[in-house]
Parts: sequence; C-alpha cells; structure tokens
Amino acid sequence: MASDLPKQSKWIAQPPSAFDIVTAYYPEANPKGALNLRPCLVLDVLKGKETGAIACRVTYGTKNLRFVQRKRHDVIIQNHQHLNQMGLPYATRFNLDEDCVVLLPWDTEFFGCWRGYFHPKIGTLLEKYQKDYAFLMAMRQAEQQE
Amino acid sequence: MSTAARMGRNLSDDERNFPVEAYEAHDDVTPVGVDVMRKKAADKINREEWVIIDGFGLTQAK
Repeated sequence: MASDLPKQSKWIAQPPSAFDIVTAYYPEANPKGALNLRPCLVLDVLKGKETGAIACRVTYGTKNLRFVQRKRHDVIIQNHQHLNQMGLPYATRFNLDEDCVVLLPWDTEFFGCWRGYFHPKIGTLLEKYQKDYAFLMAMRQAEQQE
Repeated sequence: MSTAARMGRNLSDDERNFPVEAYEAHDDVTPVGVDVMRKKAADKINREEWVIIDGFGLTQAK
C-alpha cells in the first residue's frame, strides 16, 4: 500500500529533469567501499521501453576542482552566489569524460536524500552552466573528429 | 527533529544548513570509482532498452 512506504521512498515517483543536481551514491576510499551521497548532475533522463522504469545519465561532482587542468573539459562552479542558487555546499566540478558518466536506475540503491531533505534533488544547474556544458560537449566532439 | 522536517519542506538558501554528510565526499571522481557503480547498475540497465525523455543526449555513456 502506498501509505506504507517509507517517506523517503515517495521521491521515486518524482524523477528529476535534465540538469537537475541530485545526490547519488559513490564509493569512497576511506573506509574502502563505503557508499556516500554526493551531488551529481543529471545529463539525461531515460525511460525503459518495456517496463517504463526511469534511469538517469549522471556525472558525479567532486570538490577537487583541478581548475587549471580541467577548465576546458568539465563544468566547474566556484561562484559563491551560484553555489547557493544551485544548492551546492562547496565549489564543485562535474567531470564530463565519457568514462566518468554513468547510467543509473532511478531508485534507492543508487540515489538518496541528505538528512533533512525529502528528495535527492538539491538544485538545478543555472542556464549559464547549461550553455557551458553544451559548448564543452561540442568542443569534445570536435576534438574527437580531428 | 531537523528544521526541514519541522517545516515539512526543503529549506530555502537562507535557511539551509547542509547536513554533515554533505561534506563527507572527499575522493575525486575517477573512472574506477564510476565503474563500481556502473557494474552495480549493469543488471538493471542491460535488462531493457532505454529512450531519452529529457536531455540533449550529447553522450551515450552507459
């Protein structure tokens, strides 16, 4: 019965939109194998043809900005006001390398809520950074074609 | 009970105090780490065909 579901699981019925920033599990080194929630950027939302299940193509965020090396490759957010507007607790880099982007089922095994939150969504990528993302992906495709 | 729970909604930017766990993600994002989650998801993802319903589809990464 729907009312028997834990309150946190009700968010499964509300999938995110593209460019939402949500909290997802990622393995940490210390302790090894522990899964901690961290912000990640939803790039695409997909639906299963047979079951109608939802999956999200996401890239995880990291506080390791490596700004000089990665400014031409990744979406990096440092502006304090922008961080507040997007619900991010610290300056964050979203790695756009293909081997760092992953398709995850929208369920409690891969996504979760920080304490005090009712949904994994913590914010939405501002339009300026959505444009940055589109530009960076165009640059990546151009480099691949060379 | 947290402020958010008392108020029954997500907090605004002015009200929000991030939980401690928000600051516990220390590791960089690496292909090895992402691959751990990819393998966990593989069973569910490979079970069916997926269609994009939102987003530009600029990457085909699985």
